[in-house]
Amino acid sequence: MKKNIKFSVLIIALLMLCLCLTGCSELDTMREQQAFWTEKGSVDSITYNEVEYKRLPGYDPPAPTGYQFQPVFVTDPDVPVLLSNELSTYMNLSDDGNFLTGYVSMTPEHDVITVYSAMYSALSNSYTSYEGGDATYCKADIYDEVVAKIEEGIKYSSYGYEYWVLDEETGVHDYKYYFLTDEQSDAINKVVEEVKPVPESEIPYKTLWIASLDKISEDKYFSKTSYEIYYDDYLEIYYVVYYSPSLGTHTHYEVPKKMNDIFDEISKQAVDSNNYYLEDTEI
Amino acid sequence: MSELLRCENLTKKYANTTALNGINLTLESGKIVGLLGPNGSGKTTLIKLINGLLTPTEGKVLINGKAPGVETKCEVAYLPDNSYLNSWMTVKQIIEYFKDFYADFREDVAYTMLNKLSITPDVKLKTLSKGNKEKVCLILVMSRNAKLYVLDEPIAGVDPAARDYVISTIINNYNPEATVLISTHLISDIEEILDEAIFIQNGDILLQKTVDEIREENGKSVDALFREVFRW
Amino acid sequence: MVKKLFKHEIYAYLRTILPMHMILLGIAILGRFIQLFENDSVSYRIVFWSSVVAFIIGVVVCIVLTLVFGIRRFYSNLFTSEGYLSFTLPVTSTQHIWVKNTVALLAQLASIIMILISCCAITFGDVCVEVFKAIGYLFKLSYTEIGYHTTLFVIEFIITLVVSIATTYMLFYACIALGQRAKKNRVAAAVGVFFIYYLIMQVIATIFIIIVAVFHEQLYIDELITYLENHPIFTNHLVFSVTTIINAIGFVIFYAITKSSIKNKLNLE
Repeated sequence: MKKNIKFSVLIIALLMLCLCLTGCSELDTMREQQAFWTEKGSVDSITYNEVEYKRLPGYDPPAPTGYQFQPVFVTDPDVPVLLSNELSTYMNLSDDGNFLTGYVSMTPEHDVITVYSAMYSALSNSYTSYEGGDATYCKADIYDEVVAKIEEGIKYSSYGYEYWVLDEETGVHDYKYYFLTDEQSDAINKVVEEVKPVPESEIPYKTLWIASLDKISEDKYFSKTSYEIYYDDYLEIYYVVYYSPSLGTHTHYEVPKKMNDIFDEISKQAVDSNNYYLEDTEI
Repeated sequence: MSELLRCENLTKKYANTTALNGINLTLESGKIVGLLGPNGSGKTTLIKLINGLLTPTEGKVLINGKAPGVETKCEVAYLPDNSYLNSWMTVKQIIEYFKDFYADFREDVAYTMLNKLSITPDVKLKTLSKGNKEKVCLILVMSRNAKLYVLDEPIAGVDPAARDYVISTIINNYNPEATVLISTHLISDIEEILDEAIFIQNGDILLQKTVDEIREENGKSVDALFREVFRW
Repeated sequence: MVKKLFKHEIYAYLRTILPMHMILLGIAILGRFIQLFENDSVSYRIVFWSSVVAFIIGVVVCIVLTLVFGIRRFYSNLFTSEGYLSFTLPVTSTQHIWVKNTVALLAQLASIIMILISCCAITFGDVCVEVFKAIGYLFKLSYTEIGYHTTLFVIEFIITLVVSIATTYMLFYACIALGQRAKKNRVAAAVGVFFIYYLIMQVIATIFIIIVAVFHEQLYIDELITYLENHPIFTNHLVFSVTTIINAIGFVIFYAITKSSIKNKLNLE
């Protein structure tokens, strides 16, 4: 009987040892997506895959163009990987791996990061809100170069937006970027400069969202959120809309009807993308 | 000989019936006593009261001067009329069980008796035949060195050869200073070993005499008197 | 004598509960073994999730079977033909009740521990280690950020759990013991007693809720709720304490009923 027990224990121990050698793909994915604040309590630097990313200065920093970003969860250095999705700041890594962008919460002194999720709220039975804003971090080795560009002044010369397509052959959804032509960008600028804006409450009918425009730098490398395009399909009027995060208001610039054909061109792939999305999600 | 069992005005009533009706009874040590009566006469009720399985409505029962409790259970060996052992246990395990709880249990006597029946200790009780199961129950009880043995219908439901075995086991293994109280309605098989007989009917004691007294006074065997007294 | 009673009671449980625990552990190890073949195929996902579902079912069965066995053991060992043996042992009815309740409680705790071991087995390796790290971090976090003594919380939780398990068993014992007073269909009578108890509890709870709703101003309920919301640590301690006390009172009542029924109203047939 004792021999049987010893043998069984040995087999189970060996089996457990073999099983130790296997991992778990979900855990590996979480590890790949976890980054750390380089110094706990400071929002100035992030370490991801042993590479340092430093925060670009200013409170409305530029971000790289495009949205094909990989999610990254930035946590305090001692947070275990299983809690990384909960006790973290969500950021996106650009395709070229040079930038991390996201919304960063911080204390009024802008120097202590404490962001927790519903888990924390449940534990403490309270919710504390923090100030925050968009932040962009770039790799330490190109930091000086990028800061120099920003200090020089990034010239945002045109606009663009992201839209969503389905590759019917592969069945894969993909994001693409539509860069407006000079003529189209000029049309946007003209509307904003010359048309008198009205508040949302004065818009007669409900409008459809078409696209969110980004201002694009000359080298098409940087972008910043700027205006949105809405459309009143009853009166056939386009609006260029500015959203103020601080005031929480939408300001509408009515596009003159003579410019509708330009805005039809601007809106075309966005409308297709929106329609496809709506069909696919069956809202 | 000392007084081993005393019942004083012992009454047991259920909702609609009176199982025992104020009986007074005394048993002395060193005797084999037959508790004889038809079905429903109160034999099992009396036995259960002696063993503390029921509480009296009135009166009391004393074993060696004590009310049924932990102390008397050490002195009373009880064989119920049905199978009461855990059927998943082996014979060896049930012997260990009895050995653990009863200081007077004689393990060697039990194994000797089992050997004679060719019952191996490692068999599970549920694999034994009904007859063998009852024999094992009897062996366990008779292996104790108790002061009072209470056997409820030990020979009912067994074949004649097995009845002889039961009777010889009782005779050969009980403590001569102890008392054996055998409840039965099969008197002819048991009469030859009885010292005393108690007739019970409808919860009343009709008669308590020695077997010799019954034969001399009535000119008949206890069995014949039983048939006459309890004739329909 | 109590030690011997414990010994035999534990043995009776081991022969049923232990194989069940081994089966659960086997399901967990098998589930972990399946993860060796992890890939994106549909067939792997089906097999993997089936193993997870089998494990969850195994956990539920383990808890339920342990409870059922504990109740059944009390009934069969004392109120069926085995009762002739049990009640003629030189052991008091009090000792019987305590030993059975204690061993049933230990069996349930053993099942819980085995479930935790099986959870470690099914996640054995990286995942298991990370789970422990995460738990440890949360303990530390709740203390440093909220001032919550998680170790104290765990101790309170265990005490509440132990008392509530013991009370649950004692409730069923009382139902069985009361059911024995019926002339016929004693098991059905025991079930009936349980339902009556449940009904009474529901009525009491409803009356309580109505009183609180109608008189919530006079009873300062809103202020109380606000206070409790603002003091979560105190609220947690309060919940555990009140639960434990209520269960303890229930335990005493059910024990008294069980003991009285066995001592005075036992009628084995």
